[in-house]
Amino acid sequence: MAITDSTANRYTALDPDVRLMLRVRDDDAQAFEELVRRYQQRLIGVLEHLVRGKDMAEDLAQEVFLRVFRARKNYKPGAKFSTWLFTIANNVASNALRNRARRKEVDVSTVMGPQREGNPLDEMLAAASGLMPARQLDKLERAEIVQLAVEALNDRQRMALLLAKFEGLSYEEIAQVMQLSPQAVKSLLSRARRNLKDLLRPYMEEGSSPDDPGAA
Amino acid sequence: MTELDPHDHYAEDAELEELVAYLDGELESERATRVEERLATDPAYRTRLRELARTWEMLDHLPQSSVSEHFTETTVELVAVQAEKDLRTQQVAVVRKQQSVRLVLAMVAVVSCLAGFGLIWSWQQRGERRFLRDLPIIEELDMYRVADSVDFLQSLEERGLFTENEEIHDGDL
Repeated sequence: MAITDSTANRYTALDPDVRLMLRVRDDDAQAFEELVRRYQQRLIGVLEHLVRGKDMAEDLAQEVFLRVFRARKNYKPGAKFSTWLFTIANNVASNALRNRARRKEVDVSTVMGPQREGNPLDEMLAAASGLMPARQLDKLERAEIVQLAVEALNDRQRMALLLAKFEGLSYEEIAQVMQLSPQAVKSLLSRARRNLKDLLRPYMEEGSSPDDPGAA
Repeated sequence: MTELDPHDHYAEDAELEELVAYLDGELESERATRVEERLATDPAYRTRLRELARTWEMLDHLPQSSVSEHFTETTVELVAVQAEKDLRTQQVAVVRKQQSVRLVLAMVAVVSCLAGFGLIWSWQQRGERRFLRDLPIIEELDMYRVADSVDFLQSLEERGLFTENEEIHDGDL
């Protein structure tokens, strides 16, 4: 869809990162470096949870920034800069995950690698059952359990969840990033939240109200 | 445990979507008010909301990723190198395009020259072809001049006189 001048003007006025990107369009190298600095942590954070691996996440983040740079001459702001950036990141990550699935690579370095047989949720529950949910978990254990639960989600649920939780994107923005309808994002996020809830229920902290029948 | 029928599943999904959207601040005010009214009176509904909210909070425990020390520098360098490569590729493409245009122009010029030469040659040959066509008449011109009329010549042709002459000429050849 073509971006109108009024839309472009609106985002230019609202979003300082859009203005930075417009300077990148005019071959301002410092503006590009500033954008990298501003977004590297957030981008790698999302990509790392998405592709499970820091090195790969950094490689993909560089690919994203390279695409941003290559696209600079045709850049016209039709959304917040972060939405545009994460749309590129989603495409890059989807391609990488697809290629990895095609090559059938098995990551043996992780405890629960990405290539699992059967239902990942069932396997997650089975794995989690050995971690003694009744006792108090330390910080590292909790982090590991939450990470395993997030990894047990499918790629699309994980992406939507990460964008909503850590990027604070609205359903409309997530829909734009993932090329879905807002209603599809709503369903995707509710399924992701239910799956997470089922996985993490045994580890939820004490303190729920006594009349709470679902509490552990 | 009894299985839920499809309508119950649908209602459960719709309720879940509504609660999640409420937590995410994505419900219109009218529907948000309805959710709040139900939350005030339905403990089970409240529990579901609390569980979802607590699950969401647990995501804060996800390990924070760190960025390699020189990520910014290496990224900017990588992009600079790639940009230079892209520029060189573009320049090569431009040179190739220019070469292609020159080659096409040269070919057009050669074809035009050949076509012009052909036309001129053909035009020059036209006079000679006319001469060749009229040669039999020129050869017999003295004889034709003796005749007084075209009717007389036609009657001679009907008798086969010219044919014999041609046969004689063919024999000479």
